[in-house]
Amino acid sequence: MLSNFRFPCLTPFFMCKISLFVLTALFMLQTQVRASGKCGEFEGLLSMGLEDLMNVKVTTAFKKPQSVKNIPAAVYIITSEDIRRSGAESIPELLRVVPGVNVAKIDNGNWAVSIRGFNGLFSAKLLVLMDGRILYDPLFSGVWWDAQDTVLEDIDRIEVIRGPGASSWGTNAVNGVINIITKDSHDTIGGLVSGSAGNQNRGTLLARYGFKVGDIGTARFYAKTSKRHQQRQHDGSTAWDDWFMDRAGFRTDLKLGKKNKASLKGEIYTARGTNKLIGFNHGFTRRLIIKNNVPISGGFIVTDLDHQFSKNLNLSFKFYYDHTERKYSNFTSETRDTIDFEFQNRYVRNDLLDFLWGGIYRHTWDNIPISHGAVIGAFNPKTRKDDLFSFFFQNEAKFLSERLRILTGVRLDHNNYSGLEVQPTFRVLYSLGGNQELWAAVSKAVRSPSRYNRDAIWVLGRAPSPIPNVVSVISYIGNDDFDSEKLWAYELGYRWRVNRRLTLDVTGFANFYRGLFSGTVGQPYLHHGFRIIPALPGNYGRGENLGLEFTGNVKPFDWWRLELSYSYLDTHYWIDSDHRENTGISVFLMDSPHHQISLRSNMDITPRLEFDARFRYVANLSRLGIPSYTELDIRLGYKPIKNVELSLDAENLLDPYHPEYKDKFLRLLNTEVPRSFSGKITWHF
Amino acid sequence: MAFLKNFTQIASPLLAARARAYGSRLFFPMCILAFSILINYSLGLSKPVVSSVRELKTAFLYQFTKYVTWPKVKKNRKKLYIGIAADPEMMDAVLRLDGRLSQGKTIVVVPLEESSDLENLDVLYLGEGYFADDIVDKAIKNHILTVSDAEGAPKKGIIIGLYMKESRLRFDINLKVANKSDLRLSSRLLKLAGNLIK
Repeated sequence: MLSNFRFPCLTPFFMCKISLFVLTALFMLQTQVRASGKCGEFEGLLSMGLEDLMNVKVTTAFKKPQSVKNIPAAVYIITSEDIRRSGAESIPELLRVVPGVNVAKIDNGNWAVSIRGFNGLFSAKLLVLMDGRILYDPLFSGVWWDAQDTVLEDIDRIEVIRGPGASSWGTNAVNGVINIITKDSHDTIGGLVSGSAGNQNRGTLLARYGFKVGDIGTARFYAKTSKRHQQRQHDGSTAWDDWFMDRAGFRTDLKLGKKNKASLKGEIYTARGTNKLIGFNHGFTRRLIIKNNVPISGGFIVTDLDHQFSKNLNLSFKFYYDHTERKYSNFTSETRDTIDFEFQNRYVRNDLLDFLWGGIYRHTWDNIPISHGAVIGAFNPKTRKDDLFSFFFQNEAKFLSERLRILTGVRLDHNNYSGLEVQPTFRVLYSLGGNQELWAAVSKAVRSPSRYNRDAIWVLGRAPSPIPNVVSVISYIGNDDFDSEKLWAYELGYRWRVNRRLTLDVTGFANFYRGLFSGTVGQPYLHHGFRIIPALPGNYGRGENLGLEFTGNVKPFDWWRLELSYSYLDTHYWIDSDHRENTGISVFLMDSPHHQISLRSNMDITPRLEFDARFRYVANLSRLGIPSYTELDIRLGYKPIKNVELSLDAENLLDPYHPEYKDKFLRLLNTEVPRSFSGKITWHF
Repeated sequence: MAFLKNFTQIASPLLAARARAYGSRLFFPMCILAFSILINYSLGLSKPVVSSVRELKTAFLYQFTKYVTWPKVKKNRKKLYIGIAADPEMMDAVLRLDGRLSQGKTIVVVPLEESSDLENLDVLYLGEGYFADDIVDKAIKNHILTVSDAEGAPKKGIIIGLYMKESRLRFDINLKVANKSDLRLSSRLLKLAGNLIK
């Protein structure tokens, strides 16, 4: 049984011996091959034609610009062209195109987005950033997707790393990292006005204007408003989940002398809608469906400074402040402020030393008042201040005329919940020649405890009471025993660029989790006239996620591109044998599909007419009772004149309605995603 | 609701009682890191490093030389001279083109200094911040293909400007200056350009 199998590599000493051995071997190899002159990687680039060179993607997945083919990790990049042709109206919808990412809509505001398993309303093991600003909220450990958006036309690229990215990006980058990077304002000079509407999209309007700031730089301002029409519940009744969002912001990029670059971004936003949660009345005698108005507002400012000291030494600083407020009118509210200072220094000495290191100090404080309406849960203490100190070190060494790359890195994070977390990675990439690369990686990553894990008191339900006239309540009670969840991940990948019309990418992974969030039912006791059955959090869960991801890109003609992707995920979760009694594991409240297939087609029928289609199959979520579904989205784009683009989108064509997810965590009432149509006009000037 | 408020006090167990063996947890990553740095230093300096973006730009530059026809004055020479004024890392990357063939000619890379003479060059690569005021006029006069990765270079009279877009390298062409310099650029090159200044 796989579940009883222990990986010997999990012991630090064994790992240490292995790494010493590998490095010594490399050292000896290196001294022998040093004399050979030509550089494999560079030779590969020089032998490519211009069209092929134009397809070489550059990524900052490991915090410095690199060609994707040199990255020893599973990286996928959504470009702004992909975004334009996706017909998507929100960031989670855009992520649907990425192989291996599972995106499920819960309602118009809320999404479940995850990589390599554990998909939920709060996917605790996925780190999401926008321009280096963390979107991951430490309250429940996850991203509130209902507050995230931007002008999608101004996104330069979205870099998705499948697998642990914690050594570069920090705690909680356990199963993946999504890094949304907006365009330099230099690329958005001029105006853009766009409007779209349809049966679900009840009007999205955006305007952006970019201009030069003297000789020193460029800037842009933008504003966007959108409204989503309510969906329906599984019984056919309306879901009352209309969703409104307004935002306005700016970005400026300046060059201050030859050696300094600065960038300043800021935004304010509001969103509002409604959702329904399941809770109880104060006497716990009745189960209630609680309808909440959910007003959200916030803003942020991000500053980046970059200074080139010498040809080998580059230093960059980041500072941001983020404020966010959300309210569930009949439940509670959250106000959170975050300030963050970061610096990063890159020092390049030779083939063996391309050293990157940096540090972060992040301070976040919140306020979560106790609810006055119905009872769902509360946080104690209601306000909390937390600090994070973090250092990372990363080195990339090239051997064998750059055919072999070794990336070693470690990140030391100190947070208020679980103390010091050490997250190393060891990655190797070998170019086999003929545009084939083989890579392997071993990494550790942790998910730090959330405020919910430590401070929440949550009513899970009622239980039959043995004492007459005393109500029995099952209540989750967070406590300080909860430690971080840990992962050791082993990855193996292969990429082959067969020719300029065909590329293949396969990645296999084995993730071994320890200390997964579990709940143990404790001794009942009487408290203020109630019989409380406590459910106490612990780290008694174990897990193994094994999987395979395949992507193939085919370009049969210059005007037609196809992308086929398949991802397979096999999961096993169990409780430590010493703690099996009365213990459950939180993973059973969420689920990810075992199979996902996607086929995307982009056709340029004429230079002015585009036809795009996307077929996707998502297997069932057995733990949540969600059946499998197959859907088709199509888009027709037309450019009648040079600066104007018209498009028609149809989504979820194969079913009038289908459910994608059932949230068992906040117990949001779940909706069904309808077939939708919309039209869009975009004008550049 | 009162019980909710007091609850953590009752259920709250111990925060402080967790002893951790930080030392052993740090041992493995630090070991790898220290050893990797040790190797790096023990081997000392080899050739300077170029990051892959610079290598990519160099590969573009190499390709550009294949799509240009020079006027008779320069056409029949056996060598193709590429002048470069850029930061040292870019210079190192371009120097690796030295000795390769393009259109049957052997490439000779010439690192430029301020006083250098441009007359003999076929191609000139100018990095960001390596512009001189009179360089465009001199290049036109001497039929030199100018390439630069400086921002908005084609608008300043450079024939080919390289830039990053959508995480890929792209280029714009100033055809007006190319024509003035008596350089014929192939239609394939023009087709691939992002913007053409005519």
